[in-house]
Amino acid sequence: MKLTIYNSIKVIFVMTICLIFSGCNKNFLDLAPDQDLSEDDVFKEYANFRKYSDYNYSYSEFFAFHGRLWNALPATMSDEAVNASGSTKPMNQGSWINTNVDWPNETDRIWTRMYAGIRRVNMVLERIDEVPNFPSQIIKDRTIGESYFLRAMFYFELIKRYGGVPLVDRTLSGEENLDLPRADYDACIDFVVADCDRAANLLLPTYPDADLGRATKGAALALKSRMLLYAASPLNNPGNDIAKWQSAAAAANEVIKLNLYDLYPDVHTLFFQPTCEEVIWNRPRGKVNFDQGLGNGQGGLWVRFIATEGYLGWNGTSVTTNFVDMHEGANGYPISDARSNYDENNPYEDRDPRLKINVLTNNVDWLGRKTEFYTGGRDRGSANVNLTGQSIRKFWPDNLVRVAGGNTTYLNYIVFRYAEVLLNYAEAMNEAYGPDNNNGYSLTAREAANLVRGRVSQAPIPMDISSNTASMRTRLQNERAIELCFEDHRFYDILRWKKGTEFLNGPIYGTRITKVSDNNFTYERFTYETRVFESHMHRYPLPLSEIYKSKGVLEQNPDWID
Amino acid sequence: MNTKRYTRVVLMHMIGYGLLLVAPLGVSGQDDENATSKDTTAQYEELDIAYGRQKKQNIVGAISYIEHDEIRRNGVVNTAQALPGTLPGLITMMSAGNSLGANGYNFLVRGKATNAGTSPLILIDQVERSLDDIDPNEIASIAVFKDASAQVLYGMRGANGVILITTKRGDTANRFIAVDARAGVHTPEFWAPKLDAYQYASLYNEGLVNDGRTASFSNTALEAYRTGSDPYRYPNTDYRAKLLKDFGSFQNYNFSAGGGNETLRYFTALGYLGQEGYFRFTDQTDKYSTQNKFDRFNFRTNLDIYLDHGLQFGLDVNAIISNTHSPWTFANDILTNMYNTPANAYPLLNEDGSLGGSTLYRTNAFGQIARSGLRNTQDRRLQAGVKVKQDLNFFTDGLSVNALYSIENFNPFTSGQSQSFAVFETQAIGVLDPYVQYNADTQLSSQGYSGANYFRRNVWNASLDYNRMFNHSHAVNAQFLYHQSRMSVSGDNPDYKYQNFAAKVAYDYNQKYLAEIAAAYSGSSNFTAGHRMGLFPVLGLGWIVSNEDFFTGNAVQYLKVRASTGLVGNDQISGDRYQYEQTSTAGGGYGFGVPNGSSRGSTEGALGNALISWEKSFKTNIGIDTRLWENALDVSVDYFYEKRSDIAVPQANVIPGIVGIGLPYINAGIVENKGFDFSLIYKKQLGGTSVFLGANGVLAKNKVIDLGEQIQQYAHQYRKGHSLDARFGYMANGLFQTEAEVADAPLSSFSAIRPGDIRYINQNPADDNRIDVRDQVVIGKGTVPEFYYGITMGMTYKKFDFSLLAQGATGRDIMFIPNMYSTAYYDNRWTAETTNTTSLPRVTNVTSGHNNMQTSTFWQQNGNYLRLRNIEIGYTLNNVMKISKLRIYGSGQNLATFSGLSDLDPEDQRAGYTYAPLARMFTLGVKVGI
Repeated sequence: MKLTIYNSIKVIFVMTICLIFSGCNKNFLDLAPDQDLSEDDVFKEYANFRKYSDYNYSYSEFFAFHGRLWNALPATMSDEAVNASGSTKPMNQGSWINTNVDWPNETDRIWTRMYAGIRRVNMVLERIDEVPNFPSQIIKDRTIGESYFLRAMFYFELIKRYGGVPLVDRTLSGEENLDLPRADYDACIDFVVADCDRAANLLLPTYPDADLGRATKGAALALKSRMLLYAASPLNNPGNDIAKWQSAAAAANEVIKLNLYDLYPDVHTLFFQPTCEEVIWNRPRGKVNFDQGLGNGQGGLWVRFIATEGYLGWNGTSVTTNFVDMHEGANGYPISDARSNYDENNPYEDRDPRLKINVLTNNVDWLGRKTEFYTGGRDRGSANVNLTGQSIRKFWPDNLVRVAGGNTTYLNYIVFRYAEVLLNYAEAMNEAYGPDNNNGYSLTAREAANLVRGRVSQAPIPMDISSNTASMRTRLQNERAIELCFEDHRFYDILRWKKGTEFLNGPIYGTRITKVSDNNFTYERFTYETRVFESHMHRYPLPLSEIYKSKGVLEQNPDWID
Repeated sequence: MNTKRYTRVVLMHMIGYGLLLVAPLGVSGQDDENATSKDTTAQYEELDIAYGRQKKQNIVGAISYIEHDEIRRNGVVNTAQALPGTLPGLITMMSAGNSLGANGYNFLVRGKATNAGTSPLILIDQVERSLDDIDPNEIASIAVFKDASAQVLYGMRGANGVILITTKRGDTANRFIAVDARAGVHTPEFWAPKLDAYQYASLYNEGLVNDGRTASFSNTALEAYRTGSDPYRYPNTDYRAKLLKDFGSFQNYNFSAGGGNETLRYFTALGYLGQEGYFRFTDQTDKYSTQNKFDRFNFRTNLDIYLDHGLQFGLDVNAIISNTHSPWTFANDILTNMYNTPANAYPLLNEDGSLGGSTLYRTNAFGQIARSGLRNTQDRRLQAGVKVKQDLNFFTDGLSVNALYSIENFNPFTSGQSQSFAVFETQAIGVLDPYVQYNADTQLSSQGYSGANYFRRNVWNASLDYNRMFNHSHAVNAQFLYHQSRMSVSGDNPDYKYQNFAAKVAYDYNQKYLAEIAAAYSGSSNFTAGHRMGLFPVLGLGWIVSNEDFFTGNAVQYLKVRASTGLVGNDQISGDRYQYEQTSTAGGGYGFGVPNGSSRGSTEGALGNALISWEKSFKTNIGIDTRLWENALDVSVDYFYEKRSDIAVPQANVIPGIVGIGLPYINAGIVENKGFDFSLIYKKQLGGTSVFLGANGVLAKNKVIDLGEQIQQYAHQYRKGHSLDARFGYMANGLFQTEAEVADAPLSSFSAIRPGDIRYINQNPADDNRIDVRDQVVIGKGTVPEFYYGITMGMTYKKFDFSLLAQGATGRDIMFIPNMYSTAYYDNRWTAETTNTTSLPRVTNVTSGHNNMQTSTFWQQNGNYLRLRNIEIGYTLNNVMKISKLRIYGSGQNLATFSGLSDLDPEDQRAGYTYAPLARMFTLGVKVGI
């Protein structure tokens, strides 16, 4: 063909049309290869499944995780501490139903978050048999055991807040009827206990180092002990059925009987160990750096919650004077008892040694200088960020503990430790059999509690104020407050004891400290705030949105608006 | 052709209303001598529409249109700033737009009809672009497509409106070379006042005491702040006065040339813009300056090549390189720091010349400007396109094939060096060591660079066009077109792809009856196969009444009625892409072991909804265009109605949370939007003086029919029935004056209430005695105006010209909660002594979540405003020596704002506080044309 202009025009035209229609590729809108996995892919390959299954652990609630209550420990919900960030203000003021709360993780979000965890665990249990190439049957059994443990844990988190909740033991689809009613409280306990038992049968007592942090047999039994203690407590056992206390005591005894755990000698450095003989289950984390400046969130627990401004922290959580007062005299008598030798003008001396371990107070040697909690002092903060004149010391490592140049240490989140099991045991034994009857087990209630006190050389509980179940109960409740302080226990303990109106309804005190001269201070108690707690608040309100969505099937807890 | 029609066509050309008045130079500049000759061609005047051009009087859709002169006259340095008040139907909203180099506007075409994405599609020369991709000097015209008929060819991307910018091209009749040089200063409209050290400290003490706590500043300190007796230990620093200049400078140079012959036509432009910020002390080292600066270089060439046998090529290239230079600390962060740091925080410099600071305030603003290092952010934009047009008259008359292929690369590049600086706190007299040091001085160290971000787009348009007149009265215009575009972004996101097939037939009988049908079949890669293509049909009709023989109106020279109705779509739905499938993504992790072995977790995404699709927008438009009084008054009015359905709403609002997994959106929302827009232009020539007045505006009101809202307890908690922007909050009822009033009031869920706090109305007193979220009701309008308007004015007298542009908005409310430690609070706060004379609540030290900091009618203010956007005065000389035209001009921008607000920018309440304020600009320029 001769290339005339006319021909070339035709060629161009034909080419253009070709281009148009080659452009009209039918598959043009199809996706590029997808990097994400479909749900089926997760179960087609062991490596994918492992990631999916292991990540289920992260749905657990960790008190020291800063995302839970935004710069404050859950202790700020109870009378142990107050909160500079305002995230627990609605609870402190008895105004729970307010979807405008700054940080609703503890109220509304816990519901969806736990059911999300439950769905994942159910998915693992339903589909684990599809997964090829498990390295061993032991690991498969362990995975099933971990799943039952986690499911029990997630339900425990729901039950301790709401009471009975809908029990979901399979994955649900969006299409079916999801308006499930709440199961009865005892049915929920049976469900959790059954999961704990299944887990305990499948899980190993210990793991090699690389698997530390996975649930063990002991973890499953410790969870069962805690759940049964809650189930036997006055809120959930209004008729005081002694058999429930007996089950709780037996469950705690199962952990003790394992003979795997012991109290770590130094309760201060306990929290900076990667793990130790006292730890039953923790969340392993990398070493935490304590050398960061203001605003760097790496240290999480340390920088946000604990450290004062003077030590470059945010001091989100300040310790109440109510809590300081709970510490007995060194001889074991409460400070309200004249025999305790309590001196208002020298309030921190001659007390339970744990006062100085739990609480950082004014004018003590700390990290190279004296603390300054007096008005105008560095640790009070320029804007009085420290609200009460004292701070947490419990999870704050001193220089001696820090490793590798003094700036890093472990700060793993401990969820179950042996001291708690001993106190679960003591409380249940006291209720079931009295303070000094061991029912054929290795310890009495008193012996178990005194073991915990003995570690810090606190005097045993004086006999004359703990001779019967009722008086011992008071001492054991106090012991639990001191030993397990700031560890996500006290608020829920108060709820299950049904003592919210006693501890959480009234003034919260701080200490106003005035510097007279060096080493000379005056201490004055002041009311930081007055908290509101009404009787119906012993159970959380279900999220209002869920109540409305269920069209009447989901019942609100009594006396909450629905 | 009768003379009546001739006149009509000429005047139509003047619809771009500044044309005859301000006679600027340059490509479309024209003086009186050649205006007539140009207008003889104007009967064929065509406007740019979707994928082509159309005779203006044949358009049946609703299109707003402005030309080059009106854009340039606004004295602006970027394209976004040229738009406020100029295009009827286009609503502009400033969004933190005052930083150097930021274009800073959001746009809405005829209001909002969805709670998801509302951005209009922005095109330059028919290809999707950003407004940052063009220098205003290169713009020939801007069109806004407002109704379904104008938008339909964009299918599922058209419903939010389309802004089409067309660049200048060469012209055989008008060869020119033009240079425009201007320079000027910009100055802040206002800075929010700040408390001095004494006021701050005493107010702070008062807040603490109000909360039942102890005052923290001693009387000694207060006295020292008041008297300034010890400026290093008790500083009183006005950061802005010391660190900011009153004026910044800018300069803008443009060179452009255009022309051509039968085979080659060209337009080329070269521009430079330089702006400098307000910082002082930017030359602390002779090695570099830390001034905040914005530089932009732009270059464009548009070539048209005409070959034999009806073959035509176009080659367009555009490149823009811009660079924002600042201290390493972002300029805006420094302004925020200056506003948020109390005057007593530190002296900028201590007695010994070191930087001041304290344990709490270590970010000395002087240090941030002079000693934090420097930062450069470079945006590099390159676009190139080739167009081919082939007449196919050898097949049949009026047939042609058109194709366009365009590529684009955008690549931001940042680099910088940073250093940290020590600050020193002066210790009490008598302390051995006079200073305590915080932080440390470090050497300037490289922060590396990041140049890995990009996006790339390639676009393919092809069309077969048929344009023919039968029997001198039946004009047919048909188009079949194909479009595909693909945008790749850096990162893991798969490409964004669109595909579109469309067809249009327009028919015109005798310039009287117009009809148009069009349909697009368009799709997006975000939806699943089988559900990704949508059909969008439209019908448009027009009747040019004044062309009827029976029409003999003397007062009315032109009258046209238009109507259109049809379906278009919006694919900017809520939620992620690919909602049709559920995926598990790697994310988070949970480590085991000691040492901690980190492991990557895997999380399930929301369940999929295979049916997820675009929003459907059913639109109707009825419009009238007319000219009266011997063509002196030109009026266009359009009524519009839109029903947006299939808005994606979250299923999580209705499905119980025990399902334990994220739920997809479903297409279930419905919103209605209606209103009208108009344009009025009046022009009059009286001897050597011509006068021009224009007004345009849009009224748009939307109503939520259904948005699948979360189930609520009370009817007043639903947005249903209200506007998308209606503000929810508490109804305030004054301040508590006494303890007794507090005791009687409902409990607060925010903070302990004291006298001097705001009292809210309990909306559900039968159910509780508490103020909580369920007491929020609709308290006012949102910030999107219901009515938005522009006013233009101009005149020429002999060689002088004058023009003015103002823009306003009404039907909007703003919410502004002042800082507790502000002058407003200091002057007007409640105290026990002044209960009846105060207007603001008591001061409190609790700022987060406090009762007084809630969204309520107490802090809501009417946000109506009117802004004098631009005034320009020019003087033109013709034929001076070899220069054919020379114009000297001066202009002022943002000279005044009228609103009921004091110390508050009605458009952006952060401006002048934590953000840079709106700048007033004063410009002097000279424009030379050869």
